[in-house]
Amino acid sequence: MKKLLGLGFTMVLFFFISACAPTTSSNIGGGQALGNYAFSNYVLINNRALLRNLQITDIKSKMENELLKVQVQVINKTSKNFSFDYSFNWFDANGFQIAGLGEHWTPVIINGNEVKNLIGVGPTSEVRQFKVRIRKSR
Amino acid sequence: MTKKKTILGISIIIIAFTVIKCSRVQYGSPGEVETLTEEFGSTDLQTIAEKMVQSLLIHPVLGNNRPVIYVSRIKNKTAEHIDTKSITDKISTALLKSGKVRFTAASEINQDLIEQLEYQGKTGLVDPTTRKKIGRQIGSDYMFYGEITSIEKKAGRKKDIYYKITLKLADIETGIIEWADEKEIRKQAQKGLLGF
Repeated sequence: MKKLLGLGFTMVLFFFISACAPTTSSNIGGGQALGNYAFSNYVLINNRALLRNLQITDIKSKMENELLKVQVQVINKTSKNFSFDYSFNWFDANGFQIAGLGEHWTPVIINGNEVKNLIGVGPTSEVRQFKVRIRKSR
Repeated sequence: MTKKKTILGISIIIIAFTVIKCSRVQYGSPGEVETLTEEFGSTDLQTIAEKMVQSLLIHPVLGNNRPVIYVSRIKNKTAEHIDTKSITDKISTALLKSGKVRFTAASEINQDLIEQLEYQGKTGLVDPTTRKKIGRQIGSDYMFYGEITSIEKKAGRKKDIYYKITLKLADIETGIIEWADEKEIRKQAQKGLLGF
């Protein structure tokens, strides 16, 4: 009995030390999109659960002030909130990547059944192609 | 009694092992989402810069004549220490790389520029054919400025921080604000029962 109590005490200590670090989350407005099969040329999603819960419903692009503006529309197919990260990659007409500010991951929280538009603008006027990467928040 | 001591000993060893094991160093991606603490961090800086750069780049005020911009400062009205120069640097670097604007260095190193001009003109050390003349700096078209504010609330173990950054571009000649945009960020943190 005492042995069991001791083990229990140890496990509880472990829990508090290793699992109770401060938890923080970000809710940053704006977003990007994820896609279904039809949009697979533009969107990369590397998580099956995310693919099930998030659907890309539309991708629009246009030139604005000589820059490529992209809008990817996503919908949360579930009734629960969840978060994901997205990142835009930009390429010139020959497929060479153009470094821009958009190469960091941006966290997004999407509410249940919410539709969100993930908007990106190419960093230079040479941008002609794009790719959006979407992943489950870590 | 012996069993108790054994269990206690094992517990201490395991805890010590856990603490020792946690000490490590590794490289990470600068673009990774950072939520180590609730304070203003790299992800906030990157997100703000991206939103502002995108907004300004597609605004008609920039046009095709590559206007010259004077970068003023972003006032930090939060309770935290935030390196706002880092925000303006990130934004101005991205804008410059776009090829759509130019920036005057006068906002950062004006004294150095003056000293260099004096050095070239007065010391006699510089070839007169390559000497740069005083009075030929280009006057800026616009001034870039803004502020960052925050609202912080605590309730028990929960903490909520709301940041708002507002940036503006004003025509120096007319005083008209030609562009403005804002970005909001909400961060929430919750501590464990024992405050870890």
